[in-house]
Amino acid sequence: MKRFFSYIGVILLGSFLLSCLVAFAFDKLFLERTPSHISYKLSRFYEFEDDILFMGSSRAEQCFLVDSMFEGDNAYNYGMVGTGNWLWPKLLKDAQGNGKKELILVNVDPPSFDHGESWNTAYYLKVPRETSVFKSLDPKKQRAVGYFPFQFFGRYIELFRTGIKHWYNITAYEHQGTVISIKKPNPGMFYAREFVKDSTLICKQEDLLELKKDLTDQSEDVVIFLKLPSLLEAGDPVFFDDFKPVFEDVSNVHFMDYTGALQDSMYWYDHVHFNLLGADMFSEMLREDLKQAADSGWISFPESVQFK
Amino acid sequence: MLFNSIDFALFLPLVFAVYWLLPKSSKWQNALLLVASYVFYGWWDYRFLSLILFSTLVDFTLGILMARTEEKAKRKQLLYVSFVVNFGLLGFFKYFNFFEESLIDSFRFFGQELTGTHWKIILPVGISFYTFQTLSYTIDIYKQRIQPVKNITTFATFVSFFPQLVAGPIERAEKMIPQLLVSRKFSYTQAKEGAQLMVFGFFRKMVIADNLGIYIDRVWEYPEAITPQMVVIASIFFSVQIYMDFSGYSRIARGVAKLFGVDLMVNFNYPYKAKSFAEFWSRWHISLSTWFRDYLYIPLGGNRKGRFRTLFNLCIVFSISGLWHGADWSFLLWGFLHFVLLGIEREIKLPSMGKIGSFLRMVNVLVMVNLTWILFRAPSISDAFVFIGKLFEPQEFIGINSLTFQSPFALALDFGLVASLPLLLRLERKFGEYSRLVQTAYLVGLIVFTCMFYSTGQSFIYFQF
Repeated sequence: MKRFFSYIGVILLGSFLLSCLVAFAFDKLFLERTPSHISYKLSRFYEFEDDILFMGSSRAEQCFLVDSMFEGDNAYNYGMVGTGNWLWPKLLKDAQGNGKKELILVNVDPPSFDHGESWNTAYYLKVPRETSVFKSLDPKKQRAVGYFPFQFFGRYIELFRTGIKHWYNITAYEHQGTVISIKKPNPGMFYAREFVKDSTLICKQEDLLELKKDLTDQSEDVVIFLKLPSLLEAGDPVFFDDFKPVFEDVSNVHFMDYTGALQDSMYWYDHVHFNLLGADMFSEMLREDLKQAADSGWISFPESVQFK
Repeated sequence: MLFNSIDFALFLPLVFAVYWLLPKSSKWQNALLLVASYVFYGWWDYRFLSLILFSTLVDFTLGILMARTEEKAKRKQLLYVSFVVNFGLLGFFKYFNFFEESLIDSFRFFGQELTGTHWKIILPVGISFYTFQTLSYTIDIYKQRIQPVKNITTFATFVSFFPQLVAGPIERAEKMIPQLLVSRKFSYTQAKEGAQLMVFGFFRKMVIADNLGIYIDRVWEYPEAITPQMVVIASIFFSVQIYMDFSGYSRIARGVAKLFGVDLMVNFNYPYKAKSFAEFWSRWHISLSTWFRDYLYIPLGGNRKGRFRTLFNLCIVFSISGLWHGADWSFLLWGFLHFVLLGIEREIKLPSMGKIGSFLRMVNVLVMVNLTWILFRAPSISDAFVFIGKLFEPQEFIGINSLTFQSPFALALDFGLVASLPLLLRLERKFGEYSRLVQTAYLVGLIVFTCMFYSTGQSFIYFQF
């Protein structure tokens, strides 16, 4: 029996050590050198080195060409696929307490404030445990994130796959957190869905008050909530009509509604995501609007923000 | 409880430790194995333990009663009771919905509408396996090949031994019960072999089968959107998946059993090396093939009653074997097609043609078995035909999108796994010949590779049977 336990012990110890070695090498030599990687984005966020932060879902990720809008490399796109409106309120909260004055641009997804989910566990592998993002994950997902080296178990395929795309850059433009597919779109992707048309944002008052509390208690950040356009939509910019009144007395929160902009299909990858041309056009449009806001004194931007 | 679950990772060491700490008596050991087996099974749904208990009590009693009488007619009556009870349970839980729906469809064909019961009967996991195991026991007693077990705990352990309870191998009483009647002593060699088999099994299941399963499931999810290339890739992948999944399970089962000092039969013997369909069935799911051979084919007359009767017997055996796998017409057709292939092989003798002939025969078996697996994987017979029909619908080749709904990287990994399979199987086969250091390094490599590339949450394919 003792011999058997020694045998199993050697095998398990060897496996553990080799797993640690592989995980360490993978993390240091691959993940940390792959800036647009899904797990890298959030680990970068918590270093709080950027001054201009873009947040939101895949629509944000595929929209802002940050280096065409701002000077320097202090802007980063933290849009994350599949998260809807789940992730950004937590990021916003965590960004408030870092002692920096930042410009934060948030894309709010239709149709409702509670639309979206934490989505992919791999996003949160390197998120510190004391943050609101980690605490907001359901316990099952928190357990699934795990500890080194176990947190990588069963995820190498996905992590490697998403990372290798960056290195070879075959199917997407990737820079400063922005990821825009350059694959030829399938015509089926253009079938419009009803939910994005002319809708105001459905939200509960208590959720907005909670968000407001986070923004006013500690923050000097300038926060701009954006409604990005969708293809085949028209109408008045009424998206934030229920949202705005709550923040009326908060001077550093602003709203910009782009409903109905860029309605030519040449700008779109599908009905809600821009292609590279659309992202370029929209970034240009947004940059001009922000500059005007700065010039007119409507928004007072932090000093670190330098427009191109 | 699944072998590839955290629950089992905690359950196994606990049972193992208690088992070998107990007094070295078969009574204690069997009692623990029985409790552990019921916990293992009840983890899924404790209500269905009553079925195993019922089946166990009935066959235990019938076995004793059969052994007490020399009168063949009475023994036969008792055997029929066993048939009625076991096939009754199996028939109700596994086939009721199928037969009811088929009956309603048949009447509808003739313009008559029948109202069904709308009972949604849950299929108890492993019922096909333990039913056949207990049936072999009563048949063997009837034929006076074995003596009945006197101790109910021993018999119940034989029926519900957790490593093989839910997906086999379907053990024979004559091989397994003698092992349960004596006290097991710890053997380093046996336990080491067991641990090695488990590592091989987990690698087969969690790395190869489950990763291929992702591609296959995606393709079957959208059968109308797939390309001919996807049909070919998915059907080849499924041939590998089902082999790795089931043989992986069998290896884990044998490995776990060895940890408790019990040897289970080998269930797979490199079936895709077969050069004939007969050979394929002597290498694939051996415990089931031999069960059908011994308890159905031979009693029907086997090949002793002439050419046509032999073919008829084969037809019966393979059709029932198809239905054993699943209550659907696609499984019945799958079994029947295997009979056709075997029948053709028996009737048409081709010249040997040396090594080239052997190779061609192997390719032939591989291709045909591969095609029949489509019926096995299809959710229904009509889906299978839609899937096969896609092979003949020419479509514009649009690069990687014609090959996969997944990322090219995942597809490349799948191809890598399939391409490396012959090497992996060879390494496994020769494992015993390597030095201790190489063996240890190989096992460590497999464990690390499994941890890195396993795919989560997939149940074993054969659990549904």
